[in-house]
Amino acid sequence: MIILSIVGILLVLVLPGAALSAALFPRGTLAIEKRVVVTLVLSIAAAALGGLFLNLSTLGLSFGTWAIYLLTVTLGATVIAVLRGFTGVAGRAPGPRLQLGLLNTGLFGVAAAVILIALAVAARPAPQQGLQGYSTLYLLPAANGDPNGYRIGVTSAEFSAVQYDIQLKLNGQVIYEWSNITLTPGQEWSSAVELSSSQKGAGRLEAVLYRHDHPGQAYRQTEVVRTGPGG
Amino acid sequence: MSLARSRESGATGTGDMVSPAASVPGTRTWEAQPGQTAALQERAGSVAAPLGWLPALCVVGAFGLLGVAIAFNGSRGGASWAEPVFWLGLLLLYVPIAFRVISAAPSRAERLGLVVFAGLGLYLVKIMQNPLAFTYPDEFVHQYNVDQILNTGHLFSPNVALPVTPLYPGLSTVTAALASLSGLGSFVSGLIVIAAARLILVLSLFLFIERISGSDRLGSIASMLYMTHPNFVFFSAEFSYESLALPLALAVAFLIAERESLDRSVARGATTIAAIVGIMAVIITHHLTSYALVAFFFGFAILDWRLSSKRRWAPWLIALFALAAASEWLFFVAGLTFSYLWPVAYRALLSIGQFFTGKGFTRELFTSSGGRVAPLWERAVGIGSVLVSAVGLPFGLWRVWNDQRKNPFALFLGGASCIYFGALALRFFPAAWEIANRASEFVFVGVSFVLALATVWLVGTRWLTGARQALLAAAFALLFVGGLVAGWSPNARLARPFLTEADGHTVEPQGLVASEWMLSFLGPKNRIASDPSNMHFLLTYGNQWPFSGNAYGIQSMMQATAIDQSVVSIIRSTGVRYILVDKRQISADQLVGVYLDRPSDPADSALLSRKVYGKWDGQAGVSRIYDSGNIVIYDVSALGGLPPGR
Repeated sequence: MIILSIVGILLVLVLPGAALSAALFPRGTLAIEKRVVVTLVLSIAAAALGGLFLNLSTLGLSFGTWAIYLLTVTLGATVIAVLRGFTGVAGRAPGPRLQLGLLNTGLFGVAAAVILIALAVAARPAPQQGLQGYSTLYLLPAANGDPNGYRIGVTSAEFSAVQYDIQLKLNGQVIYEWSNITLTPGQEWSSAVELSSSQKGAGRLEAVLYRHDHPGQAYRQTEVVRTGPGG
Repeated sequence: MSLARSRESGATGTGDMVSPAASVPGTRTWEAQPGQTAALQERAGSVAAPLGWLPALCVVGAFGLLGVAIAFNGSRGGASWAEPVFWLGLLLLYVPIAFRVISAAPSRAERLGLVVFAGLGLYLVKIMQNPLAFTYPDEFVHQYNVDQILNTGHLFSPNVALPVTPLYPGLSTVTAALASLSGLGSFVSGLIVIAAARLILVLSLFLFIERISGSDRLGSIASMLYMTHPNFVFFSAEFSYESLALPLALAVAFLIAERESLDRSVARGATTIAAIVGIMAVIITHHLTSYALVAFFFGFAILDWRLSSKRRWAPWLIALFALAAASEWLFFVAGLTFSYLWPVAYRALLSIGQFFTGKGFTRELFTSSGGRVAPLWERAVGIGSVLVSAVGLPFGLWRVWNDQRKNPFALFLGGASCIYFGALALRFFPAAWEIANRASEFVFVGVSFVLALATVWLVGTRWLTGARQALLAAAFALLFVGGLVAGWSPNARLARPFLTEADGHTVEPQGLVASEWMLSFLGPKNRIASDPSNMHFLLTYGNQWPFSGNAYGIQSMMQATAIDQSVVSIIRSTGVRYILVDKRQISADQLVGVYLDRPSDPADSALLSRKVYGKWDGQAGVSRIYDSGNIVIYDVSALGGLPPGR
């Protein structure tokens, strides 16, 4: 995965532009910092403009078409660069040589390490303190189109295990009840419900979720309007 | 260029340029003489470039970033110490580098390294504020565009939240390519693309100013000054099409300046080709940036025509090419741009006109749309930063006129700096504030150049005393803090909690969870009305067709206290099938409404009136299908005369 990521980054942001800049600017004619700018700009432009052409084709934009297109650009520009003598021109790119030395290398290493620590610190999830968990309740008609079938579900995003009771009411009368459902954080519960023949009529089907630590107080409420025997 | 460089003789690095030889007939006096740059660089290549303070300042800056990270961690937990630590960390990153580049001592390599470190370091600040997901409004929009390309394999998929964005597919195409080939996903790929854009920006700005002025010192000072503009730390670092287009445009500006310095050679032709490719990339990436680039080309062409002894057609050809390409894209691909940009301009003009006719009102400075008044120190710093730049501008403009008035690039940037202060006045008008804010990113290049000239002139070159250098670094710090204070809402500056952990499980914002639930249980592309914050979750995570804001009357419908005929007619006209109601008042603020709320914080926990959020309950034909506490989803298909939802 890491290798794929690196290859992908190079293929999109570096290689096409590097090859194009080598084709346009023979070795020794562009300072390194300018070549970096030209490389990035031409890579981004190649991807952006190439996307327009791929979009017009029937092949579209996919892993395969991107790879073929960008590799083609890279290889084609490399050939031009070689033909223009990029590898053979004497002399190094203009600009002074960088001499790091042991101390400077060490300092850069310290800076890099501290930055990595900073990123790790910043990426930590927020502490629970001051925040509040929650639960979700849903009530929907059955997915298979059954006019008297319903789906009911609860998901816990609380900070600890919670015990629930659920009541399903039709026009205010409890028709189904589920008790002592314990969900840990991230856990889900769901059930399919089919109304009996005596329950098939117009009205409101209501689902109410209660928490054991707050009995009698509706925690979540959902309801579906029934227009008649057919739904 | 020659006069500016002669005053830089105090520079000691071997990377610095020397005064040019006597003017060669047929060339412009402000540009480097043919062959000079290559000879200089060849000579410089034999000497090692000293890094000076660069390694040490990188360590200092890294600790500044660590301070910012600790501050963000603290602010997510509601710590009161987070804000001062945040500012300290930022200043630790910025000020030592500003102090150093003001001096004449650093080598070119050191200056380049410092500017790149500062620019990328400030980008890391934005990443550390939101390291786990995109949370800014425009970021959701562009992430959706990327995901649509990945899912459909094609460009130009409609985007109901910001319809014009798919018509400028540069950013989303590059990001989709990276996500597809690297397997990193749209979020990480987007971060990497904007990081590359940030690198292009800082390098191009440095090289552009250096090229037109002949001074790497000016290039580095101008780059550090550019980082003080109000949008640099957060808005310009967001995953948005302008964040890519502006760096590309600066790179093109550098290439054009570079081209002007080359004699008739293959290199000149190659630079022209690279610039043309860059122009095309800008045009398909962002509307306003492409128009700003066209304006730059025409400005340069006009000034060059007036100032050159020899009439040259090349600048005009480039300008006409850019104009033709931008126009073609606008008229044949992105005609929607008119209906996107014109209302903004019209409202701004109306606001200004109403003020002068006595019918309008001005915007209260330092007061947010939510009524929050900035604390005294923020107001003082904000005003102070404007005053500092206002004081420095005349000196800088005088240097432009004195030393650079044969230099068309310098004159253009001088003019741009004057526009910036005119645009500042627009901030007093409510509907024109956005224009001023957006314009600042372009014209601030001019401000940076002019203030850099003023800086160098103010402190002299060879015999800079530590005290003057420190005073100027303090002025830079004031500009930096003042810019940030003015440019980003104070309640969005520090990090907020986007997710937390419980028993190994991640707890995410209710809007995000509700959006993912909709996609799973109700399928994609359902029309749903919601508040501005949750609209972005519905779009990006739910793949729904959300409606929000003033368009189509959605906001008035959401804020109504009863279901009356106007509400029903809005539902029918928009075809919305579902309504997502977020009971929290903060959901109206799309910058901060996307986060987990802290019940103990009054700003977070304040609820809408029960009449507003509860008006759908018990209504004939309305089903309440989802409840997560703050968020309730209603099925209103019956009200709209639509068949029932899934």
